[in-house]
Amino acid sequence: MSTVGNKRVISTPLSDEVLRDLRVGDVFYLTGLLATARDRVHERIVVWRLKPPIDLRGYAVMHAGPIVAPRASKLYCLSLGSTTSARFEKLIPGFMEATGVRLVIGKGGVSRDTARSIAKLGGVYAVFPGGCGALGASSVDEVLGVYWEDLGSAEALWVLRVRELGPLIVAVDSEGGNLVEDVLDAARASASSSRRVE
Amino acid sequence: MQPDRRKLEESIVELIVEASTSLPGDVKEALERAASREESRLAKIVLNAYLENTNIAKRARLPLCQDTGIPEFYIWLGELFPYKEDLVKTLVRAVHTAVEHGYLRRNAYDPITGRELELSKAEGFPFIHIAGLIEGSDEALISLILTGGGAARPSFALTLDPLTPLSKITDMIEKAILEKAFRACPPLVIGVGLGSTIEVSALYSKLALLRPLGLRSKRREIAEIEEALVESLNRLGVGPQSVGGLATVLDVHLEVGASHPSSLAVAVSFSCWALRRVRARVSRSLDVEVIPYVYGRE
Repeated sequence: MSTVGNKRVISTPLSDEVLRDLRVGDVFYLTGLLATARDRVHERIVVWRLKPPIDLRGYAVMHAGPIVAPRASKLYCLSLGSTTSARFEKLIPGFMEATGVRLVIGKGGVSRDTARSIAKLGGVYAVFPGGCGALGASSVDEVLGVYWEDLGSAEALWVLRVRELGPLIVAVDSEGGNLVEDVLDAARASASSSRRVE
Repeated sequence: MQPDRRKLEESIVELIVEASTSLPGDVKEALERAASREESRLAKIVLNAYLENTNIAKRARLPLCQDTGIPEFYIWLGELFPYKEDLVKTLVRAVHTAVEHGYLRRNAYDPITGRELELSKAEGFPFIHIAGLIEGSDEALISLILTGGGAARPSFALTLDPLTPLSKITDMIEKAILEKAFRACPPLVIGVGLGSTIEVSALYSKLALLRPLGLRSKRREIAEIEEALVESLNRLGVGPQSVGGLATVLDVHLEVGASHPSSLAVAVSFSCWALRRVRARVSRSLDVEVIPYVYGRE
């Protein structure tokens, strides 16, 4: 981990120690190797038990379906934004076990059950603000490769080199803390108490 | 004079790119206001990321979001506009061209097989609705809204007994936010439509999203409901990206059609913070000019 300007930057390969230091509410930026995986990649690895196409240990994985386009014989990432993790959250712990990935980036948070499973594996789940595809793309230095392209471009597993991708907000930490569920519990309590007053 | 269909198609593609890459001024101002009011550190970080993303997207002409959504066109046709059929066909072609050039993501799937559809077979992509005719006019007005899948997912429509108190609708919206829409990238913009059937209410809920943020209904009692909804939903504290904060919604708009004595239909259309919409006038010489949207066809 290093600090660039006032940014806390974490680089791959990610060590267990660095991830263990992260707490719910911490904000950081990621530099290094990032793989994208959404619904179908999770299905292949966890449900179909296919071998991951590359060794992802030490990588960060992002729930994202990027837009990548060839320009002058090189591939450029035109959009890299987070997608809703909850759609396939039940597959996240299995994905982490099968791939060795311990930093998962998505949006919208995950349930308490999933958060506990992520914590048990010593993992961290961070939110990259949704709808920020241009911001995400601006931190992609290089498109390194693509696997399982038969799933379609958005669903394929892309490997990207990123520089200071963020802000990334820790929403589940290795102690099992869960930012979004805490916010929702408070909101539910405030909603029902205001109804009682009326 | 023969219409220059090629020029019209290019202008519509340009309109699509504008909608996908440039956040409307009213939405950007609402985000800036929310950022200046916000007290929570994380909420501020999220709102500033949205604004930074908005600037990068506009400067580099990149999509604001990788999900460029479902293109939905709402059209008001001048009675004397000569190329009604050409216009509708050109909108479809322009969307296909925009997809082929990578300005829009291929978001059309067969609901039965789950496979990606060839664009020529993708019914409802784009969705085109003739919202009305304009008396004595020789122009057409087009509103394009790009509806992201994440925000479409928690949206809903249903029918109620006409005696149902309006507070029940507030409760339903609150429940939808706490169950699903908190994942649809708040602060949300919410369009509520009332009518007799689910399709009538759904249409009005979409028209409600076209109205500029901060502009209240012309009917005072509806304006008051809108204000009350904004206030009560922002008391939830869900905040941007559900990290906690003051801005859970940017605005709520309510549009109403007639209800039926035995059926009150309610539809709620959610939009993520990146409410991507653009409005344009097509002249009888097929020049396309972006114009601000006010109410309906005004």
